[in-house]
Amino acid sequence: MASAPPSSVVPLPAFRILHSQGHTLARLGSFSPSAVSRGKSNASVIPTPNFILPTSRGTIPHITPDNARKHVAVPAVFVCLEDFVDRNALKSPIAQSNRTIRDYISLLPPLSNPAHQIPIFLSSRRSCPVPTSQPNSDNTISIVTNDGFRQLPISDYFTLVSQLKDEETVIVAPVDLPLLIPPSNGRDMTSPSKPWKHIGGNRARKMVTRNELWSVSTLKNFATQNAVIVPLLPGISVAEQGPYLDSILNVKESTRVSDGHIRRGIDGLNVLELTSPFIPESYEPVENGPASDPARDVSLTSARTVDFGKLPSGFNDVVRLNLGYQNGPHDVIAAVERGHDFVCGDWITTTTDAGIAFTFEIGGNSMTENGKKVDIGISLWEVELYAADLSALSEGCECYTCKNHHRAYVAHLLAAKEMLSWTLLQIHNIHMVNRFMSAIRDAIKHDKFVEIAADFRKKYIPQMEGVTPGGGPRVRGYQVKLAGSMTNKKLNESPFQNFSNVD
Amino acid sequence: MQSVFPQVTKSALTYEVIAQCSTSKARASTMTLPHGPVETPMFMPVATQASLKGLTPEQLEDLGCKICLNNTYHLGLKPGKDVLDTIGGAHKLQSWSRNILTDSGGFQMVSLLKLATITEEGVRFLSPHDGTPMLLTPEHSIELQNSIGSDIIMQLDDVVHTLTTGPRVEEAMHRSIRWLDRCIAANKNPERQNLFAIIQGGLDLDLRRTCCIEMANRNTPGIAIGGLSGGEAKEQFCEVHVFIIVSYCTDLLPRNKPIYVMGVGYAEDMLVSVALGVDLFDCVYPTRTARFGNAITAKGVLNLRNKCFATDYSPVEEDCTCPICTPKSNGGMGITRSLIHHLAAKETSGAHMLTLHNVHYQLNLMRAAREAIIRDEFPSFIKNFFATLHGGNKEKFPQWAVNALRTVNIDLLDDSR
Repeated sequence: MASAPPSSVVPLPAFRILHSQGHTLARLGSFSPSAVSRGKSNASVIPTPNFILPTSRGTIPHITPDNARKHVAVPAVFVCLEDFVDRNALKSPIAQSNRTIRDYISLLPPLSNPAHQIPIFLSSRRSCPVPTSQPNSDNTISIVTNDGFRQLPISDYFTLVSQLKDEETVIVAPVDLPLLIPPSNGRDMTSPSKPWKHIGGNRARKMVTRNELWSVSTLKNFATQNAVIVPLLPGISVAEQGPYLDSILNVKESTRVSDGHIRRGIDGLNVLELTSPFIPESYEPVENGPASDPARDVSLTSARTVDFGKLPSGFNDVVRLNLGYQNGPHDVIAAVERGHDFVCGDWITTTTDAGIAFTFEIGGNSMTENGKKVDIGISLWEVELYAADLSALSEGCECYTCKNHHRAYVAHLLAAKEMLSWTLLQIHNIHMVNRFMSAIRDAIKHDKFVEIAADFRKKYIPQMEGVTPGGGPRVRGYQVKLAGSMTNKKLNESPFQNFSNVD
Repeated sequence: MQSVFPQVTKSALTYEVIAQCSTSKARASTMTLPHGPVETPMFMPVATQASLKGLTPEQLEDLGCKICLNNTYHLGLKPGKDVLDTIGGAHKLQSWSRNILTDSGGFQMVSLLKLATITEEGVRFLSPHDGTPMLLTPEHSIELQNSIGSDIIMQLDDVVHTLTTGPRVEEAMHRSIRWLDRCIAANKNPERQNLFAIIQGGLDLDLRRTCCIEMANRNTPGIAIGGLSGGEAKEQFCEVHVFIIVSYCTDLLPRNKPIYVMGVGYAEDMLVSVALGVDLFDCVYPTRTARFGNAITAKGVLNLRNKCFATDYSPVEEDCTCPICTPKSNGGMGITRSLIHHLAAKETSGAHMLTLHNVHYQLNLMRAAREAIIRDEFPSFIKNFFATLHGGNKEKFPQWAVNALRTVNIDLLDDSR
C-alpha cells in the first residue's frame, strides 16, 4: 500500500473544474482518483462530464478482458462488493485472495495506454440495487448476494475495502436509504423516472444519523489515500440533513493536514437522483429542453416541492456522481445541465441487451432530412430491414465492430441468439457513448453546450420503442429484479418443436 | 481401382504429406484450401451459426485457428439462402478470411432425431422459425452449401446413432452412397468448394468396407468417417469398436486424401485417431463444456463450478499459453480458477474466457502432435500425454486406447517401445 504524501507536497484536490458554461450548471472538469499520485505523470485523470460503466460480478457485461483492453475504452467502471461476498464476507474467496479487486477481476489497462489504470468506483451495493427484505442497521448494510439477503457488518465492509482497493480506486461510501420496495416511502430504483418523495419524521432523522456515521468513518478510513464519495441524501431537504453535511465538512479539518494546508476529506457527492439542490431557484430549463418530457417535468417540480435549499458552498467544487438510471442520452444531457460530472452507464448495457445499436451523435448536423425526429439507434432485431445490410452499425463509426462487421451479421447473430451479438453491440455502444461524452465536453469548453443540447433534443426521439421482440440474453445477475425473477421463469422460448406433435 | 466418376476428380485443395510416423499411421500434412493452408492434424472448432460461441472472429484467429465449422442446417434457417446469396456467402457474413467447413445437416438427424423423419427424398423437419414442415434433400443441402461458399462442403448423409444395429444401418449406408451421387451432381462450384464423402455403416466392418470402396470410387477431394459420434456421451464399451472402425477405414481409404473423423473431439480420442491416420476433427465439446464451467487441461477436465476452486488462485492451467492463463505480466489476462468459479454459469464473459482456453487447448494439442510426428517422436508423445492425463498411473489408462494403439505398434503400457 502506498504511503501518505510527503508533508512538503500540497495534496491536490481530486476534482478540478476547468470551465463552466454560463447558462446551465454544466461544467468541464478533471478527476484524479489517487490521492497519492495525483498531479504526477503516472496518475489517472478522467475528463468530465463522463460515464461510469457498472460491472456485473466484476466483468463488463458481454466483454472478456482481452476485448475490453483492445476494443472498449471505458472511462471508469463501477464494482459492487455484494457481487463478491457470500455468507461470511471476510471468508469469501475475494477476501482470501490477497489481491486487489483490480487484480482479481483482471481489469487490464488499455492496450493503447498500458500505464493507465482504469479507475474503479467501489461500492457496497449495485448501482441499481435490488430492494432488500430487511432494513439496514447502524452496524450492518443489508445486501443481496448470490446466496440471498445478507447483513454485511460495516466493520467487515471497511476491512474488505482496505484490502481490495488500490490507488486508482474511488471509494463510494455506503448509503442508508429507506426500503426500496415500492410503494413504500421511497423510490423504486428500478423505475428510474419516478422522483423521490419527501422522506419525513423518524426515517429522515435515522437516515441523517446513520449516513453521518457511515460517511464520516469512510472518510476517516480512506480519504488520505483515495478519493471518497459520500451520498447527498435524497428526499430530505438541506436543512434537515444539515447535521450530516456539517459532519462531512468537519472531517475535512481532521484529515490531510500537511504544511498547514488543510484539505477536505470529501472528494465527491453521490447524488441519488436526477433532480438536485444544485439547481438554483432561478433555473429555467433551456429552450426545447426537458419541458417536452413530462417525466422530467415532474421531477423538476418535485425538486422544488421538496425545497432542498442551498448546499453549503464547500460542496460546490466536489465531483458529483449520479448513479441514478439514465434512460438514454437525453437524460445524460439533462444530468450534465444540472451539474453532474459522472453519470451511470447502466443504460448502455440495457440498450445492448435490447439489440439496439446507437446511431446518435451530438454536435453534428442538427437537422434531419425531412425535419422529423429520428431514433437514437437502430433495433437490429428488425431482421427484415438489416438481414443483408452490409453497412456499419453507425455510419463512419470507428469501433471494432463497425470496422470489422456489419448490420447483417449482428442482426443474424441476434436472430440466432448467439452471444456474440451482444458482445459486438456492447463494444459499439460503449464507443458511441464515449464519442458522445467527448463531444459534450468539447462543447462545454467552447461554450456551445446549450446549443448542441437544444439541437440534440430537436433531432432525436428520447426513447426507443418496442425492444427485444425475440428475447434477450439469458437473464443474469445484473438484470435480476428479485420480485420479477420469481415469476419470470425464462426470458426466451425454445425454438424447436417435436415433429410428431404436429398433424 | 479405376474411377468410374471422372467428373468429380476436380478438387479445390492440395494435400501434401509432410511427415509420416515411422511406427504408427500418424501423419503430418498440409492441406491447402481456397482460404489458405491448414496444417494437419487439425481440430476444427464449431461455429454452428456463424459464430464461435461468444468469441469474435478476431479472437478465434488470434488462437491460430485456420478452419472452423458452420452448420448448413442452421445457416439455412437463419439467415437463409437468399440472404447468404445477397451477402455473398458465410465468409462475408462473419468477416472470416480463413477456411470454413460446412456440415451438411445430416448430423442433426441424430441430435434432433425426435424432431425429424428421414425418407429417400431427404429429411423432413419442422422449421424452428415458424413451425412449418420443411424438407432437406441432398440437392438442397449442396445448394445451401454453395450459397454459404464454404471451402469444404459435406455430403448429406443418412446418420444413425452409433449404437444402432440391424437393417437400418445398412439402409443408411446405401442411402448415404446414393445421396453422395446426388450431392456430387448438385455441386455447382467443384473448382472452389471441396465436397467430402462421408463413410457410414455403423459398427459393421462389412458395411464400412462396402461404403469405403464405393465412396473412394467417387474420388472426392477428401473423405470423412461418420456415424461415430451421436453426441458426446459415448458408451465406454463401444469405443474399442469405434477405433477398429476408424483404423479399418483409414486402411481402405486412399492415402493421398485428407481423412476427417466427424464429431470426435475428446483429447484422448483425437490422439488415438491421429495414430490411426486421421487428419481432421471437429466437436462442439470444448466450447459447450466451457459454458458448463469445465476447463480442459492436460491433467484432465476441471469443473470450475466446484466449490473447491472458489479459493484457488492459480491459473486455469499452469504454464498454459492461452490468452486467459498467460499472466498479466506476459501480456495475458491472468485469469484465476477462482474468478472463473465466480463467473461460471452466471456471467457469459466467464464462459467466453473458458471457451478461449478450451479451444486453445484443442488447437495446441494438435499442433504439438504435428510437431511430434515431424520429429518422428509421436509414440513417446502420445505415451507422455496419457501418463500426464492419468498422473502416471498406467492402471488408469483406458483399455480401448491401449488396444487401439497396439494395432499401430504403440504399446502405452510399455515404456521401452
